Amino acid sequence: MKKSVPVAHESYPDTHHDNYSRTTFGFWLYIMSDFILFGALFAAYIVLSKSTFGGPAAKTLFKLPYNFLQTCIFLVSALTAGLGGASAHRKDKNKTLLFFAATFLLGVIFIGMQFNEFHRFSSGGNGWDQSAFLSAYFTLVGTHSIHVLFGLLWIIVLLLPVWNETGISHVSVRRLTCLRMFWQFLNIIWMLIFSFVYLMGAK
Amino acid sequence: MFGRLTLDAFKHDWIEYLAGVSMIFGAIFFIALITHYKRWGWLWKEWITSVDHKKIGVMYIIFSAIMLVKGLVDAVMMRAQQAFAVGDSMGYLGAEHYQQIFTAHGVTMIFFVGMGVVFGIINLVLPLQIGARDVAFPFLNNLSFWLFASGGMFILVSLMIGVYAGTGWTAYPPLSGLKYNPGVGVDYWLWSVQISGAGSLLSGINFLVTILKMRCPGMTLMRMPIFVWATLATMVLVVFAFPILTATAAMLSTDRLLDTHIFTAEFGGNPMMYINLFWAWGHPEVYILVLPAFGIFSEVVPVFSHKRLFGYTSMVWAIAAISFLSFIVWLHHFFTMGAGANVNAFFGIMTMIIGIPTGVKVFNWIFTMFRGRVRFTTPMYWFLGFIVIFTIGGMAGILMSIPAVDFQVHNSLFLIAHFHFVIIGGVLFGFFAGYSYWFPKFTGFKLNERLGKYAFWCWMIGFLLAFLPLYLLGFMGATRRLNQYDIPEWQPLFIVAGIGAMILFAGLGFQILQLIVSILKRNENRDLTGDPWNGRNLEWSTTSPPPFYNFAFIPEVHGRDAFWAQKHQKTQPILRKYEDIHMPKNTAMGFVIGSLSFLFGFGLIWHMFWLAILSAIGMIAGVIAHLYQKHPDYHLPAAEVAKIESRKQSV
Amino acid sequence: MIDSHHGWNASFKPQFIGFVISFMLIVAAYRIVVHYELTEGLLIATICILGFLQALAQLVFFLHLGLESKPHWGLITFLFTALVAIIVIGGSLWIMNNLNYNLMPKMEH
Repeated sequence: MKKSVPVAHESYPDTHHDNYSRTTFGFWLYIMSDFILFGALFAAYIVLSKSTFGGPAAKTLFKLPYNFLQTCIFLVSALTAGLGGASAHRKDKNKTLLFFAATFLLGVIFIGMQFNEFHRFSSGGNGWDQSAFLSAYFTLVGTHSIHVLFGLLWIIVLLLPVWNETGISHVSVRRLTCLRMFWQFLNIIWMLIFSFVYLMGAK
Repeated sequence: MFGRLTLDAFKHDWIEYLAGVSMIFGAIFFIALITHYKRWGWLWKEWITSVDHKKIGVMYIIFSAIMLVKGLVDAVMMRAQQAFAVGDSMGYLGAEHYQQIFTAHGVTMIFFVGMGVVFGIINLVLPLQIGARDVAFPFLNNLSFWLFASGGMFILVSLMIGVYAGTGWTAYPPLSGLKYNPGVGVDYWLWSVQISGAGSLLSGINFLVTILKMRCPGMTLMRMPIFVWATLATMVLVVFAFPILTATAAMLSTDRLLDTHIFTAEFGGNPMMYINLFWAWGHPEVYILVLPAFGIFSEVVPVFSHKRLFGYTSMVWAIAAISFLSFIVWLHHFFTMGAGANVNAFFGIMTMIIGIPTGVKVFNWIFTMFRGRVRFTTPMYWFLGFIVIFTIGGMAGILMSIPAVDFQVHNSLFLIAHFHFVIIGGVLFGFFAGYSYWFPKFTGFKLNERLGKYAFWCWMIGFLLAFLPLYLLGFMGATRRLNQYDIPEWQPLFIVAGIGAMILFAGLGFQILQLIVSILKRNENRDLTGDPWNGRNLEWSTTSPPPFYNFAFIPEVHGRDAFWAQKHQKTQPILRKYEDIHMPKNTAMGFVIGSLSFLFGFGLIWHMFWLAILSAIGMIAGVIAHLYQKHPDYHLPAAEVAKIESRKQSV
Repeated sequence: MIDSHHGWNASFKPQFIGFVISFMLIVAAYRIVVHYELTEGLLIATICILGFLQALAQLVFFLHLGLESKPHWGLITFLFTALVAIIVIGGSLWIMNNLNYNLMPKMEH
């Protein structure tokens, strides 16, 4: 097996390549840690999912067609984020702006739908303080929503310099790649939430 | 406007006033000193905003040293209480106060001494050992330190404003939940742990990328020093275990702030889930603490045995095995909670198995010494002390890994003895060995050997006196975390333990004295060669202290013990032209974000939600400002490098 | 500049492929769960399998898992993450199930 001998240009003084490879790998590790974070929240949710304290269960509360629509919208946004990231690598400024703007829009719709669902529960007397099941649900799905909100902010923060720059700097490409990874990671988590919270619960 | 913060929060008993006042005096003294010597600019430029891993490492260790003093004072107070409070006597500490002390003692020692010295030593040594100029993300490194310091501040501030948690360092619900502890104590606990935990996670990512991506040419994984392997494994544990703590503490926070029912006793909550998740983090955490210490010993023993480390490959496998196994033993912390025999048996067996790779390492160190030319310097003293103490503690652990035995001694003083033996014998003695060993590298002068040995003997004898009795007391039925015992026959043992604590405290005194004396006599003990111990790895190839960029030329290695090979090769090194060096700039943003994180936590603790929201916005703004920075780095011209290099050669 | 042999970073095709596969899998999962009466075991199995297949598709086509050059640190760290997640979630479920069976009162109201 070939030994992984690092080549001279991988060390300081760094080239743009090194920074890219380090930053994207570092961000990947952050995503891995976030998987574990959600894993712990999932574990808590599964353990508590039947503890409704006499209140309505998932079957009654969840409206699957609504969540299915949400999932599809978010999935499309993962596609546009991917296309945006690829456009950045191609140094295509217009496509980058277009696809990430689309991602932003779809993300806003997704969050809007999510908050609408939260509101439907809360105002219907099924707030997070009513039972362990609801607490775990709000915490798990709420944590995902908070991540999406940060993602939305991040899109704005990154697109502004791209809008102002001529072309796309290597710094922007690097950061947009991380953003794309983040958004697509959130999609995987959402898909798991849709599967194990909504689909599993609604039956 | 002030949430639930009232003047009542400032009222305390005389002991707490004393502690608070001495802290304030310490702070005033420090401020006065800096002002008198007009060093504010220096402090800001050279330390607070520094992204240099060496400076950050020193700051971690200084902060940890301060926290160690506080933690030991907590310990001495507990021992004094226990030595007197037997039978009818109630001692001088009420139950409420005693609970806060043992809670703060645990959190301080594990998070702010243990993690602090781990990150401190790794910061100092890691980049040098792999032939790099800094870590992968220098700004993040600085931020991690300030998050760590911010977390520590909660414990210190709680001495003066409000109270600290009285739940024990593990903060089990439902006691730590809103219903039974609605006050600020547990919230102080939560935010000190959560914020410093964020810093730890960022450091984990940072060091992991550093090791995997920034090794110098020729340094394959199997040529890395074992300390680097230990760090690699430790950072893997950090990245994969800390998120569990983050999630669990977050859920306890929502239980307390938002009235959720995840860990409550009613509304369907399940407090046992907290205990389960807490220890799923908690067990990897203790290996995060001890693996770097093992790494330090793997550096110290070969150098002072004048012999290559025995069994390099088996050391690597042992580290890997310990890391993996540390994720599948966590239930042994709650054998008695009520799981069935199958579950307990599985985790009991796994716990026994994890002792094996550790044993392999101990044997390898001993075999390294065998037939070597051993020099009994202070670092070697700490190593030998570790062998005795850690082995005893480890055996106690294996004893408890049998669920049936654990049912007898769980939550007794036997358990307390076990973990103090392994943490102090392992983590602390390991740190002290590393401190003595690497001190000349980073300061340019050696520590006084005689005082170092006095310190060692005080720690060794003091520790054995302080903790051996606890094994006996535990077997006899003494429960942990009690401030009073009603069996007079036990008192002699508690008194012996109390004396041991005093001797141990004297050991700390000797270390402080050693530092002062060494600084005063530094000119007589200068390390002029950069290699005072005849070392084996790359950190010794630099001057003492190293230039801020570490290496003028990135080294190229061809085997293990790279510096040893360099020293003994016959060929002359090729003279090369100096090149510009690309370095990161200082930044205030880490300090700013860290400070805001403190205000954020403080706001949430005291229900000053406007403060929490503003601080959160501030932190986000700080990150964005940092991202928009135009020139976060600079090039050090080759001519400058040449000047610095020639200056050191002429010394 | 950017490592030019990372061709997949700039391609649109993997993104579209990943999207189509994910979409098909999510529609399948939705339709099966909504339109068929499944036993609990079959329900869990279906959701798990479809879910993990979709996760795999997204990991490979969106997140380029396993496509980097040697050494495959991304893949290795992901596998370790998956392992730890399975241990923590699976272990927690085993433990909590056991504890709940032994200790918790019946909660039906």
